[in-house]
Amino acid sequence: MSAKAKLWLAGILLAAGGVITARMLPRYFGTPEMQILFYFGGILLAFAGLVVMAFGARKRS
Amino acid sequence: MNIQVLDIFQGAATLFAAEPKIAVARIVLIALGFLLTYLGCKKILEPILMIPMGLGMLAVNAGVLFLSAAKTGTIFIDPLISDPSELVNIMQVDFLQPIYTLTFSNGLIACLIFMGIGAITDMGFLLARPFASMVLAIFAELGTIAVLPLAVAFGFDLKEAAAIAIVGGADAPMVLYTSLILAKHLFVPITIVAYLYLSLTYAGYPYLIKMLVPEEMRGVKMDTGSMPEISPGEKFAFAVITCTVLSFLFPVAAPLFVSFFLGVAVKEAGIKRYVEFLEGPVLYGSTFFLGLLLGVLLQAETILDPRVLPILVLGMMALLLSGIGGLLGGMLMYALNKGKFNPVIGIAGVSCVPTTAKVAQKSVYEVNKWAVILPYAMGANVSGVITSAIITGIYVTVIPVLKF
Repeated sequence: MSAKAKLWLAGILLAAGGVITARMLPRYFGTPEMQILFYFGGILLAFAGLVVMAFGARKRS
Repeated sequence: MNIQVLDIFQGAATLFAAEPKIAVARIVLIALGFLLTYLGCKKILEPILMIPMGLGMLAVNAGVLFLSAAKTGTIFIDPLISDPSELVNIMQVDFLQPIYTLTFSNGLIACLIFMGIGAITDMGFLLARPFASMVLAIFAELGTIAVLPLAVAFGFDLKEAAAIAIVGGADAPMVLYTSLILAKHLFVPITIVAYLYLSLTYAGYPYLIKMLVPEEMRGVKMDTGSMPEISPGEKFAFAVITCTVLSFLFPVAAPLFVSFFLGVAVKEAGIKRYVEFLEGPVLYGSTFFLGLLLGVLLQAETILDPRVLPILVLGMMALLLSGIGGLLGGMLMYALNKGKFNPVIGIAGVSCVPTTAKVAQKSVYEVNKWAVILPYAMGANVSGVITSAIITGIYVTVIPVLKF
């Protein structure tokens, strides 16, 4: 697998992980602090995934 | 035959029938309408918005008539009407009411403009320098974040404060959308303030750049030759995945995301007919009617609302802070790149596409005619749109569920 494809895949997985962390995990934690932590943590993770994808796009194959 | 001259010329007669402050406000708004139209015509302010807005403003304030013996009004629009049967009646009288009801108050016009912006946006600039673009865009959200607590300190509740703070994102459709969701009762003054100020960025940001960035830094040349080429397929894939991820994260803002990325996707897929449709009739048609509707909504009663003055102050602070934040981000990138990054690009992180990118290039050109920064500035600009959309998504999703 090329470095470009690896970056794309890693970015998509990170972004998907971010979506799950932000939208699903807070349901399983009762305290508002934990919910906020997971929500914003998930958004950051998803954002990081998009950045990694962007690096994949600029990488020459 | 007894003819009352003032009954024939009701636009003037209603001036004398109204309270003095309303009459004065109408005259001031008519004068402001003339001024905006003139400044738009002279290209000092954004003409595509200012000419319909200025004309709408002066016509609605001049064209007040007696609707009954005791009631005055216009036959342009009634923004406060909500009863369905009254609405159907008024749609047959007020000529702009159908456009307002069916496109404005549900946010459709913001989405149509976003489709057009998507169709003229090249994601390649963002993908070529993702780190720098995103850092600048985050710094350029300073006003959006800092004005939220300030607006609360001014006495607005959290939802109203968030709707005002979004002005700092400098993305007018986003302001319209957020105020419709979070503070519908304030969306007329907030949106008008936002659009007025967004035109002022065109005139005001060059001075901010000159004040904050020393001349030798403004002239730094960027290496445009080494920018990587991104294929349309990759830009398309990035747009589709980003749209999916953001819609999952912020479902309330999903209409905005799908509108923007649909424009991008259509462009990258090479569907020329759709691109021509979105970047021409849809974008300019929506902007034209938006400008006209905003002008028509700017009636004397609106500016006499005591909340307008703090919104004016906060809106200006939001845009000023975002501009300063963007330039600070530019300075940071200048330091990180050991002087090989033009800090003026930071102002393009403020997501007023493509105005701030053009302002950045123009400011640099004045100092160094050989410095081309537009591709980098467009990258920061596109990233600014996405970052503003993300902050809008966070505000409209999180703030309604916060309980204190």
